Amino acid sequence: MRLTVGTAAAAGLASRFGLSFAQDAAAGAKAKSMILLWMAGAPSQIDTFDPKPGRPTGGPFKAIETNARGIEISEHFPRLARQANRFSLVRTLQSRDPNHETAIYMLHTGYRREPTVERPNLGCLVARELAPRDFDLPAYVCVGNPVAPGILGPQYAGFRIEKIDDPLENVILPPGVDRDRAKAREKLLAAQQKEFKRGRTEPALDDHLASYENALRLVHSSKLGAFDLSKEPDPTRKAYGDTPFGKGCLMARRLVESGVKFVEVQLGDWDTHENNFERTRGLMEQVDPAFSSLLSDLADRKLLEETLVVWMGEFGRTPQINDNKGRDHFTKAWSVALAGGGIQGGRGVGRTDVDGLDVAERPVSIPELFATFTTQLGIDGEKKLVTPEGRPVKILEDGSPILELL
Amino acid sequence: MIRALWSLPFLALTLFAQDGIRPANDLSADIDRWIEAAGKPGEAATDHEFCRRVHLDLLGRLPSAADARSFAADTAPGKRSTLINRLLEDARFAEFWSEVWVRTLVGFDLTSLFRQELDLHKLREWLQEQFSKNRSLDELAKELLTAGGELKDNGPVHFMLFYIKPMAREPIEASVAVARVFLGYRLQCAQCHDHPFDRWTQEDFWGWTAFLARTRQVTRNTFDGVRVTFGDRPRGELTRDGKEVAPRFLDGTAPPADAPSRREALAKWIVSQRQFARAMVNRVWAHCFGRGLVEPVDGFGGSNPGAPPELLEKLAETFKRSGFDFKALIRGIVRSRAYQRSSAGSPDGFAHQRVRPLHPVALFNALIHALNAEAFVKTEEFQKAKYLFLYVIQSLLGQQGGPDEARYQGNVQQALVFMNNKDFNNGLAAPTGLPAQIVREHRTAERRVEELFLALLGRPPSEAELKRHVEYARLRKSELPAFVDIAWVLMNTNEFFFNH
Repeated sequence: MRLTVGTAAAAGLASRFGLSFAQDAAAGAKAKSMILLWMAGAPSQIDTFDPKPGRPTGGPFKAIETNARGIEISEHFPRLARQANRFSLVRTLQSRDPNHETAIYMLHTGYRREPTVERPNLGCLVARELAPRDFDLPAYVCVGNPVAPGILGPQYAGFRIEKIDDPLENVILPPGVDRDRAKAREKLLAAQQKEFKRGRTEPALDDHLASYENALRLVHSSKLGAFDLSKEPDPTRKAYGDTPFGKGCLMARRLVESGVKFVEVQLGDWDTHENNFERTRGLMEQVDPAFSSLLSDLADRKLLEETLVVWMGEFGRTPQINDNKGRDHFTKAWSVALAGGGIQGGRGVGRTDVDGLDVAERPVSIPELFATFTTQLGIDGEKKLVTPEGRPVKILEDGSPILELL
Repeated sequence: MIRALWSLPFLALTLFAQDGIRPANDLSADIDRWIEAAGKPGEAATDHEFCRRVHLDLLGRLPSAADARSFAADTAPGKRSTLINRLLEDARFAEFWSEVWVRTLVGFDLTSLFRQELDLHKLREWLQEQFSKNRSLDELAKELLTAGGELKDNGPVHFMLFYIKPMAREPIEASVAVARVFLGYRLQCAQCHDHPFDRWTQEDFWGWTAFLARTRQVTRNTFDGVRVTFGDRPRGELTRDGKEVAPRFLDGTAPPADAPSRREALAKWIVSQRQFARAMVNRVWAHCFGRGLVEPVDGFGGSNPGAPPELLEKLAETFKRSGFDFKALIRGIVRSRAYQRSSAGSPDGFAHQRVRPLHPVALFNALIHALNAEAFVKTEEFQKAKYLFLYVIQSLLGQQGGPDEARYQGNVQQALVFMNNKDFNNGLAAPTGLPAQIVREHRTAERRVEELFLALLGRPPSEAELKRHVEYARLRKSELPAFVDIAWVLMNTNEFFFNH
């Protein structure tokens, strides 16, 4: 969502962050928006996308073939198995952080948490780089709790949807206040704000005003129908599944169609230290219809090519099964799924060993993953952002895109 | 004639001094001398501004309309000092500062509320007791650092308990927290490497952490059920690369061999350091001015070493000499001219006061005040869910940073909630709400507008504002909805949202 403050304030804010509003897409950019399916708590890769049937680490789930040659996935993803020509797997992602809080940060920013610099959350970065200037809807919507915007500041913060059945909870006018009354008192508010700013230079005041301006744009936007799932035909809603995650995925499609640049839909809790198989299966039964419908729906509407879809959590889970029928945290070799936005479907990048204990072939790093995202989205990794302390940092310090996917 | 002569000095004083302008103790005098030596500072804040600001900083609350009006109207000399003294003795002073300190000690993460043995309510209650008694900060620090024993009815133990997690192998979080809170040092970088610009080496880091090597939570199953205690085991060492690490203070020295326990030795050392006094003074300063004398408050001796400002040295010395008297420190700061300046100008060099975000607890209280919901706050239902509410407020402020971050991170969510939230709006429009109460108590549109300004912004409206709002009301027959709208407007201004 772009700022709509006056140019002086905008220039002030721009110079504070050392950014320009130029939006030249890097050559080869395919994706115009991104949908992140965030699997909170860290899903087990063996039980989902990298099965080890018959092995001591394999667990009870069987593997099934897909419509992509050479790719097998868990039996609890039957519908995804028929979309495998549309998504690809990276099975050998390696990270070194088994700690939820810091790993969530890392998988949203591409960096380990540093005390000196807060990196931008990917959603905020995409919002800032890709969103058109005059756009009513938030550029970054999060069904769940968004990670903080970091150095990009509050105007790019994720718009949080807490209740999927009431996404516009505080956007619609309260009872007893109609449009005329709302407009009248908004006008009175605008008049009231002017005097206080005189002589006061605190940038937070501008941030506060900007929040209100953006909020009001949203409140009076004509595009709010994008959040309204009742406009979708019943069969479509059924296909995604009558679950919060299913609804979230359907909403993501609608939002992306309306021009929202980054939608994050969260599902948890995958942190299955106990009772891994029952719990994971339950979550997979939500993912399967939603993710597969999202892919086919986007493809049918000719949107898949320009929408990058990523399914991932903050790390993987141990091949070894513990005493509580659970799997613990595992960072040596885990899986993410990618589709759309120029990602070639049906591929499997990297192979884990027979028990999934380690990478057998082609390890992939977090910087490479993020380089893939930024390249496909046309974001220039060399571009510099400026921290509040005045230190310039590149968007992408290192890492090159995973060519096997492109 | 002689009587007239007697009054001359007093006359001179009143000509040159404004209330609060004449500092009454060392602290205030030192502050003003140092700041005014640097250049010509701005003019003083008005009585209304001062009244609101000092209520927010000391009690975390807005003044009532009646308080705001009577303070401004009061002609007694020394009224600002009188107000300061009254607020320092108000029960809500201890309550607010206990909330501030909980946040300083353990940050504000909702998940910590669900950890089994942790009871942040107990910690806060205990802190409140200490502040009501004006317990000296060195004693307070020592007790927080050395607390142990049974968890039941134990307030201070929850500070350490928060950081010494049962699953953690090494007490790193705790040792980092101790250095941050009590010394203003950021040690965490030194955990992994000797940073070229930072003061601390890995050796320093691990020697420091070794003080907590024996500190543990112990859970036992007894006949009476599960019993959890916290304390130091008689043995146990940190090891690095196979070698045991001996505890070392940050100046490289070893604890005395006869120290009763490592934590006692640690606590004693910490409070004996000048840095402790500096760090405490700096925190209170940051609370009152929106920015520390050293910024950030936990950034001492980091990659920007430099000498701490002379003023900080002086204040730390005075604070130490006072026996680490917390209330005296606050009093000294808020009685200074520097604290009492207007915020309409550049705050560089503390020439003006700063526009700064409200503490989440203060914002929460301001909302309760605006919605006339004091009665609700006293209910048991609310008290149980209090921290949940506060967490929501903090998320609204977009504050997801560390425990010391007071940076405003405004966001669209906050604006939307304040403008359109059903509960807020119902609260404003309710018969028990503030606008309804004002409409009942005052007859004319003018009086009603004035009361709303005083209640919500702590000041009367200007002529232009009065005209504009009375006009708005008259167009709507001066009925309740008009005043609900005016309250809505005032609640959504910058002026309401910030301390200034």
